Amino acid sequence: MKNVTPILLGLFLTACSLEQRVLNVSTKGGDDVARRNALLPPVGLQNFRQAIAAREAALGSQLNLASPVYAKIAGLLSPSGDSETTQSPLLVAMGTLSSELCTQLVDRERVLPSAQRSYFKNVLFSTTTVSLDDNKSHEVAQDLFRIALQRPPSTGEEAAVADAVREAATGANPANAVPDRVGVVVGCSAVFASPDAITN
Amino acid sequence: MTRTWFFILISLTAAPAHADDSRGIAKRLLRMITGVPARENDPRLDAMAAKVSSGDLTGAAYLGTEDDNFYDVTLTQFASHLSTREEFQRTPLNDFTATFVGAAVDNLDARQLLSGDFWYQGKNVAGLPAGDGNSNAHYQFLEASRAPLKTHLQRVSPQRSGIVGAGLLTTWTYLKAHVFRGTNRRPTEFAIRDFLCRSVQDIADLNTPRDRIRQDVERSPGGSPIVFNNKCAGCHGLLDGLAGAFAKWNFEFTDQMVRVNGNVEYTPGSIQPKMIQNAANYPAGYVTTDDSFVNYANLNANSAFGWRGPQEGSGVAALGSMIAASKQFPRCMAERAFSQLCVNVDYTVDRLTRTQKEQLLAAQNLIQGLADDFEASGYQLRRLFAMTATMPKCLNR
Repeated sequence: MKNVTPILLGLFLTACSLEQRVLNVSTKGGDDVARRNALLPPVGLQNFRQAIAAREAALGSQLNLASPVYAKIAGLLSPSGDSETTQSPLLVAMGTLSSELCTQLVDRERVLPSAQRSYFKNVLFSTTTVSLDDNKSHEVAQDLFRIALQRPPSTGEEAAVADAVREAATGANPANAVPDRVGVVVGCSAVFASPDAITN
Repeated sequence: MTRTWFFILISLTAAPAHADDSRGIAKRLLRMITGVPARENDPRLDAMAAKVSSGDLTGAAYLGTEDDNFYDVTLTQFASHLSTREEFQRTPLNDFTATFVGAAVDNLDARQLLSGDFWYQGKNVAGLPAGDGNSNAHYQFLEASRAPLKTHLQRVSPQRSGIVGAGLLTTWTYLKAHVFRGTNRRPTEFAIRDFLCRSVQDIADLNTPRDRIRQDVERSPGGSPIVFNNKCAGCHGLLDGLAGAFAKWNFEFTDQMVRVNGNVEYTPGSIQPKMIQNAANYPAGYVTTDDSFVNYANLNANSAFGWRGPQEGSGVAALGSMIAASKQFPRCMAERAFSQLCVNVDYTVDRLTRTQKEQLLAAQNLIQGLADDFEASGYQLRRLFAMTATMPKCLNR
């Protein structure tokens, strides 16, 4: 669940992103070359240095990764940022990197009193119950877009991420994990692994 | 004419923006320069936005070059793939990359990178081993510490006592990549690739003089002089003329199995034996006796490189000075910066896709404008990247 949901949600966000790009093209008018150039690079992937630095900037500190994990992730990310280097292992590595970031981000926030948190202020992170109702999951979605993409989500994006956050939390077994934590980490990982977050 | 168009474009882009636009443009500039999305609460955004509002886009971009990530991400990426024979981007920090980044931190004239007797090492990092000149341990420790390069590099001069260094061209990493065994033609070939953005095949010229082609080049490969006359001579004529500059340098690994550590060798009074190996292939060929070189890559179509200054000399520093003095050097640096920031590809000779080539071709006037500005501003790398980020093609991405 933890591994699959962010990727599925990421695919949904891919569709949103591509749809927006096609809309931009169709409203530009002009000749075929302009249309073609609008669809081709300069959209490129973050190279491995950019991907890691961008997530550390979001966290506000260096990621706490064991050297072998760091090397493995960095080794799978794009060396150059060329969009032609997009392959399945790269997307998995982006998901893994995002999960690591989100786990550290959520764990840092959840131990703080609500008033001292930067994000997820109204999430209880109880060890026994789910506090993520409809309103709170939408607040979490808005927080996540602010952290990852520095912009508010579209209506569709917000609904998709809020649903995923709530469903992941509800589906988590309190005996094994803090349900709210699971929900927020899943949503967070999906947003950080979405096309907007992994491209330049 | 090109320059005029360049500044018209810049001035159009630099039209004063509304407050909201200014902050948005500042964020885009910062992201372009650092490779990392700007945080909404980043304190530099206000100052950058103010400069954007007043129409000073370059000033705003220049402020962005203060960010640690400009050095740790953007410039490190830029230099890394130039530092190895394989041209891999995923290369550990090394003396080549650190020296490139350090020169940008200190706003050095980038031409010194090819001729100055200095390099950069780490500082103020607990436990940092001394740079021993025989391994990359110093730089890998520095990289693993995650210390920002902007504040943890120091210039060290000379590179090696008793030997005249030539900036990047005599770093341990560059020599390890290019003067290990072989015939010492490769360091010259890669100097042309890395700093003039051309492969030897690109600049091959069958009409160059052949008097510097060495003995080891067969004049009748496979029994046919036609191959030599119509193919080999085109590259060797000019490459052998230049390669003499590295005649006294060699590199030997101390761990042949893994080839990680090794020693640079320099023989001040004599040339390396490999410079005169396989003499029997063509005994009447050129015999290297010193580290002199002559530039035959300045004739015919290759005059477009815009060579300036002495066209012959001795040693790597003189070769580096000659390359850096050409008009093609700032153009190459501009082309690389533009590729990285605006086309999102690390410029590697021979490896660009057709689309990437078309995109660069379409931006030739902009790139020439950047090159002219780079030269006019004293070859400052920070200025080059700041100017590049303000290009409409970049900013409107």
